[in-house]
Amino acid sequence: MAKPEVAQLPQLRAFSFWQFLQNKFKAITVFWFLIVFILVLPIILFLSVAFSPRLLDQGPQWFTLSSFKQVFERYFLTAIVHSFFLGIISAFFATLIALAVAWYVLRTNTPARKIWNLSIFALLLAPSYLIALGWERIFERGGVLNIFGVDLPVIRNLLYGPVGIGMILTFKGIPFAYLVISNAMRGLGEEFEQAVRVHGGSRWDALKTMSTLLLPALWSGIAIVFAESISDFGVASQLSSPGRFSVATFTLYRSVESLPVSFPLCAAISVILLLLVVLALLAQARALRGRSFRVLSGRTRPSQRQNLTLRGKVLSSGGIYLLLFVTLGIPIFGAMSASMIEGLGNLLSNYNINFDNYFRVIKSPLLRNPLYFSAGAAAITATVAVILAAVSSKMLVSTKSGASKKFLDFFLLAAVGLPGIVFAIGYIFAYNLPIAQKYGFHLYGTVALLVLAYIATALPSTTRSLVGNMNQLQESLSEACRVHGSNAIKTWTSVVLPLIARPLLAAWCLTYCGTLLELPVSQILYPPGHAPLAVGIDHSLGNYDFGGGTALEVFAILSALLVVGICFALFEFFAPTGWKQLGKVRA
Amino acid sequence: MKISQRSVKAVVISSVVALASTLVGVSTSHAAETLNVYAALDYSQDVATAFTAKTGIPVTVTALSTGPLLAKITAEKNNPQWGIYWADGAEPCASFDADKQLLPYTPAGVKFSLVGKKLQPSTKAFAVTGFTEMVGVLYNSAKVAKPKTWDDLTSAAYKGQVGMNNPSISGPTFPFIAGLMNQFGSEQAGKDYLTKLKANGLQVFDKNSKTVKAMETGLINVGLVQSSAAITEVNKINAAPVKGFTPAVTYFSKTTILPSCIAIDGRASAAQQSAAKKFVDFAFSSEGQTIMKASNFGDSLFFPVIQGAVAAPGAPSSPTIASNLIQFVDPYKWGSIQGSVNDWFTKNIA
Repeated sequence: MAKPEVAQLPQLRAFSFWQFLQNKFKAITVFWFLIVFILVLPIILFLSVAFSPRLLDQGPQWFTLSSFKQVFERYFLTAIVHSFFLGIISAFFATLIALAVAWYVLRTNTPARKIWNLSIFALLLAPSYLIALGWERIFERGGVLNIFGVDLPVIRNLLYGPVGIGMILTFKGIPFAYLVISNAMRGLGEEFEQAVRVHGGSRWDALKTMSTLLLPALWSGIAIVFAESISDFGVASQLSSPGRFSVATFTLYRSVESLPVSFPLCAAISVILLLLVVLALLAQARALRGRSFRVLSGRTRPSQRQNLTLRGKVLSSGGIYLLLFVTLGIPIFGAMSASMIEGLGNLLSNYNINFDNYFRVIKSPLLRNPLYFSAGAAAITATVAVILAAVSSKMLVSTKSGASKKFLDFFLLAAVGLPGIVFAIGYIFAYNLPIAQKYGFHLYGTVALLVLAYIATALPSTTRSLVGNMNQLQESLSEACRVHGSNAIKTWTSVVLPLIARPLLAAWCLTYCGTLLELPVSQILYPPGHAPLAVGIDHSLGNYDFGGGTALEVFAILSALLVVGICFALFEFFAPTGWKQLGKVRA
Repeated sequence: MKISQRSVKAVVISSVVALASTLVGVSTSHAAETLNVYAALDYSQDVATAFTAKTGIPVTVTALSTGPLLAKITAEKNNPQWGIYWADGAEPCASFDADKQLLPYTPAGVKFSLVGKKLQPSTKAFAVTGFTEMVGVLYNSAKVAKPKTWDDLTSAAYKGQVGMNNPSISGPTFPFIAGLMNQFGSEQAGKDYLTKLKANGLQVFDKNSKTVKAMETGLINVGLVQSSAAITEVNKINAAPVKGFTPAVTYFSKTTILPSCIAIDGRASAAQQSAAKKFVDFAFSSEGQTIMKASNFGDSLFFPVIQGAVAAPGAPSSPTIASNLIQFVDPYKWGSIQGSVNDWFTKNIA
């Protein structure tokens, strides 16, 4: 009997879960997955409480606008208006000062350029409350000036008010704006200046052209400083309360950390802060609409330093030294005086200066362990955040204007405009849901969630710091590489990476420094037994151990500077020559 | 070297899978039944360590100041993670109780002192493990005379010299204000007194540590702070004297009692609640009380509520307790107006 004819089926390949995953999930899917879960979900859940307190068991109503009614009462409204104007003023002045400093440091032979480059990360690292504290130590009653018989009540009153808060927010904003502007300026070769001069333009015309080409970076700087200023709590906590000059973050923290805790009110204030950030974004978009600023290519030539006259050198160096003194010297004095004066005694009386508090930090695991923990967490955060920020910034500057780009842009800047505690509470709302725990997904209360929250907090500013450079990259470079057969990854590593290696390194250092002393997220999300640095410092200060707390703070800053120094040294030693070429200035 | 997109995808996917496994792994280890203590008292970690050593029950302590602790607990409301709450001030516990969040429990076999009995709530929703006084009047005896009454502080001799904490930021300060209102007969009378104090140059700082620091730097010479903070400062300066700064502490009639309260989460698992009850018993045991007083610093300088028990060596007996010049404020009554009083204080006094 003949065998029944069996239809010839195509050979079935064994099902491979691995291959299924590879086919279904693209790298970009993973990116969006992370963005939604670490950034969008916590923000949305937190803000939703302003409209629907019952959703997360924060009140009886499913829908209400009563919290907004409260926000528009005189007390809260005044605080918001104060924050808005302080944000504008600090953003404008910080960007202006950063532009001037960037030009002198990168394009001239001012003698102060080396010390500035060494100091920039210390500036980034100094928490805003530390800067405020330093200024307080100078002008307070019984402070340094009092010791020398000088009492300046007028200046003291100015310090504890809008002038003092605005000034310190400006100081705090300068390094953010500088990083963005300097990265962009490095990518701006001298060919544009030469072209203007060859065509008969004056030095002033050349400067105008350069400023125009730097517009994306300038606007990025303004947007970042504005968002950072309106969400800053450090200065507010130090100067807003004693000066009785309320700002939005102060009222926001008050609604969260005192009975009765009111998250709906806090969320409503956050929504208003977000709207302010949207205004900044709209202004930025309007200013840059329809223009191209792509100047960075493989042919970008190093610019030449201008030789300043003796008077120019003295004036520029004097200006930079003065800036460093007021932004860095005074806070360092504040921290050092607190950590080295025994018992933080009355400065008017006898006191004993020694290093006992520093030895105590070295010897006590309770004091030093938080430093180790935070250093590790900050390194992981910086690495992941820089990878995500590189992708985010590339998407933000893409010529394709899609909904996803606008969505990402909004959430990244929104996140800068929201104070850290909003994030922290949003993380509890998102990752302490009963349904997640029912299925055995216990992320809340783990180191992993803390690090994810750090990444989310750092991502916006890290991305913004790279946008200026990404905006300058000419897409034709990548396109040419792809046409010649390279895949996307090779194109990225062989064409894009060399051009942005230094800004990436700067972004890593920025994120590391920013995460090391982060307080609000650490406080709310730290897992028991793993107290981060800021919690350790806060604990010491709260227990009247001012010396130990500030000594730990000084140690943290020194350790961060060491890490930054090592990173740049490694870059100089090991990076290919081509990577180091961009942004170099001929002597 | 040529890198294929496939291999990059593989790396990305395996990283995500590894990350997810790590997270799940971390979470699984976290899932073991552990008593979670949320505390704002310095000695809580030491007590927890001794409790684990004695009972074998693992304990994790989340140690924060009262403000962030309350924020955390409120954010967790739909899925509480804490088993024990332990901090100064009865108003938060009264608020949790009003929300039906607490498991009533009376520690077994404890003989309370007279003051201790008065401090335990009739609802049994929480227990009071000790108390401090609010306020200890800390003054720099090298610069100002010892103030004796509340009215003294509004006189010309103390103009611009007095500082206190902001009740919106400092947990222990609202009971002090509620005490003033209670003592002067009404909410308005208390507000009137604070307004007079402000007219005499009252300065407001965030919390105990900031007010004490303002005294050290000479910004003020009288600080209205928690008694334990005041005693700590006096002891500190006695140990290392500073010329021109001789802090001393005094108490006015009447002084408000600030209880340290311990409470059990009513929605915690049965195993966690059982462990929590044992923990509360341990906190009241002589062993637990000894540990609480051991550091002889900061929160350890509390007054005990157990019959015959004595305070830490560094905490001198309070004259107001001896002469019964103390008062108790009802946290259920005064806690209900805490929000509006704090608002009023921030807008008018701070």
